[in-house]
Order: sequence, then structure tokens, then C-alpha cells
Amino acid sequence: MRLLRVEVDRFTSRRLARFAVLGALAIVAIAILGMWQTAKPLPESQVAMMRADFEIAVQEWEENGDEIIATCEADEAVAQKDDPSIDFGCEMQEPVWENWTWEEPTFAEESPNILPVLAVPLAFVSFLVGVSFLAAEFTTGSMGNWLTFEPRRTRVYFSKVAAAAVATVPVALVVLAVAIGGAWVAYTANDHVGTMTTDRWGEVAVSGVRVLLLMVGFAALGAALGALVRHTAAVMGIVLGYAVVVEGMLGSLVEALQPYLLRLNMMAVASGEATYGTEECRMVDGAQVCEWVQQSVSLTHGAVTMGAVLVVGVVLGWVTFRRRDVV
Amino acid sequence: MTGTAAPPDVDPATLAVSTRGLRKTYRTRHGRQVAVQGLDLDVPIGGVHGFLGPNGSGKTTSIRMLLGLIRADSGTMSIFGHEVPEQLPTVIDRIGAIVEQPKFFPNFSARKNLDLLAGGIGAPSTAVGKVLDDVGLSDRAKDRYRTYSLGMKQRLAIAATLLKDPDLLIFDEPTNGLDPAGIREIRTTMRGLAERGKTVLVSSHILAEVEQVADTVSIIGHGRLLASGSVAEIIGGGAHAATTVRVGVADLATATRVLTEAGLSVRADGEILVVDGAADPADITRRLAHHELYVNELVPVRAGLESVFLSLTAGEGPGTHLPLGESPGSPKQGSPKHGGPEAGAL
Repeated sequence: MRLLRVEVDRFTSRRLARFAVLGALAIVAIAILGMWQTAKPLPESQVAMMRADFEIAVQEWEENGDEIIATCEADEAVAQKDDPSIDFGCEMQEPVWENWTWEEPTFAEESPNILPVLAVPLAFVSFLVGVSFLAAEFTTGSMGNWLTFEPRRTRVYFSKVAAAAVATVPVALVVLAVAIGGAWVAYTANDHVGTMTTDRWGEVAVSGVRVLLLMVGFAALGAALGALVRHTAAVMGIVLGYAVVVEGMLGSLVEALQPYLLRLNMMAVASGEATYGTEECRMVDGAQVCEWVQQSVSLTHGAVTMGAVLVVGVVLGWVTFRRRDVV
Repeated sequence: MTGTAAPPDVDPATLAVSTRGLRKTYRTRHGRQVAVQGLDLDVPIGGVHGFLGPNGSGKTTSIRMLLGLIRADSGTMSIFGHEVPEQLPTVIDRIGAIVEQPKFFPNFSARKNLDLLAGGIGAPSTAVGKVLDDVGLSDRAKDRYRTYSLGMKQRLAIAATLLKDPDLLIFDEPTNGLDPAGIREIRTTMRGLAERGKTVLVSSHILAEVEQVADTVSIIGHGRLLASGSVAEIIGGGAHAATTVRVGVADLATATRVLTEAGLSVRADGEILVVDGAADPADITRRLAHHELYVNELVPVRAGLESVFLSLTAGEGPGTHLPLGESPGSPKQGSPKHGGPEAGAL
């Protein structure tokens, strides 16, 4: 505990950690600004323009509506010969005002999604601080100095990784609270709070806990990779390379990889579920017909995958830290 | 690493540090490079022990191995009788070390850096103020470490080592980059620590430094021990015991002939003869007087640690501080042989 206390003290005393809090708050501020813009009532001029467009559509419907429906139903009947389940929704085509205007969302509707949207950037900030926390010790040479005071490397390593995780908790709580509080203010200022039930607040809290766990986990993972690679820029280079090559290129080329991509699993943890699409093709009358099928990654899948990544990273860092010379 | 590191003829209880057959190699592009090869080192408890060798001779590597920072390939090490690195946690509280340059967090103040170290070892918070006072940094304690001069950084590093009130202090090249005042300060500090009963192991390639402060020395080259003992023994022992005598005499030519016939090495240095190889300066006066040559000056030239070091480590590395005009490839006559503890060893 003594080592952990010292490491938490060092973590919170670092300038980068303080800058990171400001960075996280800046990310939150941008998100809140976006929410405020979304919740803001439409200007009268824009509503008038929409109204004019709607009236044109109604007029066209009154003139050609029957013909449009007939054509639609005929096309639907042809399509249903191959697939009886096809529904073109022909009866829905009459213009209705709701489809022509913009109904500003309420805080009550949006609140469970607010924190998950912030999960990736906030987790990245936590990761960066975690990496730097350990890597800076090697680049400044202070790790060698520290080991002349505490040579038990396993203790040293885990106290540092744990400190990165523990010190992230209060920061994450503050940042997430600011995000929710700021969002509430943004919607309240525009009179779009809606009805927040206890269940809704519960969903917000659960999403907050999940994002908090992601931030904490990524801080610990960052610390482990900092010990493994020993240089912040090198770790960031590896992360960037991974993002481009694996998450970007390989992920789109090899569909089977999709459920194991970190970003998707992060979103699954943050949102409770994440979806992705795969293209499924079959031969119909000698022609290949492909359709886009939505797949999902469950919370459990996401949690297990992210947990495995964390464990592998921490163990690799530990083994390396124990064995490698410190110069 | 098992077994006692000390040989039978050395009482381990008298040693602060002992290594036997210590070896370390590094993998490089050009194959494996041997940094330390079979180092046998004994540092007695108490006093200042100089650990000398040219740059690249393995001093820092040996110290890092002792402190568990790097792994030895083979050999045994012990500190105060505890095998290291296995028992390092047991004995670490008795060791304070500065390896190469002081290394702290540049954006933290001196006090913050020491507070963290003190917290790690459970030292009382008052200890930080005390050691800062001891090294004269109290006034600058709140300043960031990166704003410190090299001398102040060095003093802060010493303060850090004192947090533990250690019995053994290891200083690796502590005067590198310091101005003369800083060097004298470090020297005084080391002597002061030794007088308080501490053991100070100081590695250096600056011989004059160590000669002034050390009680005992070990000289290494190419990762091997070349000589070890008290400074007096190293300088005055072995072939150096009766090396050089400067002789002033009126008839240089005759005196040269007489002494050369007696089997001594003689060369002229202006109006003075420099005679090597005499077992006793009195032999020179006796032989010259026998030929009615009377000396007006007779000065035995005491070998310095530097000359011994140079003759032992000639050509060992770039850090060998050669006096102008001397070649590393030509050890001085009468210097101890290369390559083993037998040369001037205790």
C-alpha cells in the first residue's frame, strides 16, 4: 500500500496528468456544445422553408399519389415472388409533417448514449497518460534510481500499474459527471429535458460505470505498455499503426476479424452492445445477390475481449519488466 | 548464484562488497561484447574505496549488477554478506547509490522528488528537510529539478542516498562534469561519510580524485581486476617500491657510466640524471662516492596512483588519462604486470 500511495502521488503530481484532465474536459465541452446545438430549437426561417417543402410534397401527393401507390405495389408484388417477406411500405408514402421537420431530441431520450459516445476519446486520453507514466521513468532514468530504493520489481511494477488505474478513477468520475451535468444544462437551456425516470437515471449510471471501467482499464493497459516499450512515442506509433493496419485495413478486408476489433468491443462495453455489418451473398437465378446484414457484439463479448487484452498487456509488461536490464 | 562470494583467506564479515567471477556480456551488432569478465572485487567495510578503470572498463556495469539493475551472466556477488541480487531487498536499506548521472523527475521540485523516495521507503517526512539541509539545498528545495546546475543535481542525488542513512554508499563517477569547487565538495562529502563510519565505494577514471580521498582502491581493465589494495600499497608496492631517483651530480657523463655499469637504467633530464631500478637510493650515493662523484641532489620519485593506473591499464580505453608524451602501449618499467589479481593484489 505504501508503494501504491507513493505512485498515486507521483501520478497526480505529473503535469501530463493535469493536462490530460484539461484535455478530457475539452473533449467533454465539445460534446456538450454539440448537444446544445442539437437541442436548440430550429430558427423560424428554417421551419418556414421546411413547411414550404412539405406543402409542395402534399400537393404532388394529391395529384399523383394513387399512381405512386399503384406503381409501388406493382413493384412490391414482383419483388415478393422471390422473397414474400419483402415490404416496400407503399402505404406509408403519404407525406406527413413529422417526416419533414426536425424534432429536437430530449435529454431523457439521449442520456444513455451521452457517455458511451465519449468512451473512445476518453479511454485514449487515459491510455496516453498511463503510457507516459511508466515510459517517462525510463526516459528520465529515474526508474533505475527508484529500483535502488525498492528492488522488488514485481511490487514496483504492479504498484505503478495499479496507481495508473486507481488515480484515473476520481478523474474519470469528475469528467463523466461534468459530461452528464453539462448535457443536462445544454438540454435544459433549450427546454428539452423530457421526463427522466429513475430507470433512465439508472441507465445513465450504468453507462457511466462502463465508461469509467474502460478509462481505468486503458490507463492500466497504457502503464503496462509503457513498461514494455519504455517510450511514449514508440507506444503511440504502435497504437497508430495498429489502428490503421488492423482496425482500418484488415478489419474491412477480413470480416471475420470484426468481432475482435478493439473499437467495436470498446463500444460494446460502453453501450452494452455494438453493431457492425457484413455482406452476405447468395445466388438467385444465376445471379449473385448480396445484402448487408447487421451483426452485433454483446456486452459480454466486449468485456471478455477487452479484459483479455488488458490481462495480456499487463502480464507481458510484468514479464518484461522483471527480466530486462534497467540502464 | 549460490555459495559464499569471499575466498577462504578473506573474512566475509569484514567486507562491504564482494564479487567473484562476475561476468556480463552484451549482445551487439558485432556479436557479444564482454563488459565484465570474471571480476573479483573486495571492498572492505569502512573508509573510501576507489573503483578505478578507464571508460568502458566495466565499472558502471559492475555497479549496476550489484544493485540488481542488470543481470550478471555468471559469478557471485554479496553486500554485507548477503548474496545479491537474491537478498537485495534485505540489504537495500543499507545501500545508497548514485549510478552515473543523478536521475530524477525533471518537472518535480527537489523536495517532491525526495518526498516520493522517502515515501517509498517509509522514511519520516522530516528526513527530507534534514538531508536537504545536509547538502545545502534547502533554499532551492521548491525549485524544479531541471533548473538545477549539475553540481546541485549531484548534491540532490547525495541527499537522496542519505535518506536511508545507509552503511554503504556507491558513487559512480560522482564528479563528472563538476567544476573544481563541486569536485572538492563531493570529495569532502565522501571523506566526511567515511569518517562517520560509512563505507564509500566510488568509481572514477580521474585518478587524482580518488588518490586524494580513497583509503583502498581496486583497478580494473577490460572487466577484470588488475590490482587491489590500500593506496599506499598500490603506489609503493611491487615493482614500484624503488623505481625512480633523480640524481644531481657535477659529472653527468661519468656518473651515467658508473650507474649503467651497476645495472641501473639512467637517462639525463637536463642537469639531472633520472635513475630507474635502484633498490635503495643509498646504493646510488655509495656507488658514485666510490668513484669520487658526490651528489648534490638525490630525490626519490614516488610513483603516483596515476602512473600505476596508466601502467596497469595502458591502452585499455579512451578514458585513460595519459600525461602528454606517454604512450599507452609502453607500460612504465617496473609497473605491475597486466592481467590478474596477482599484480599488486592484497
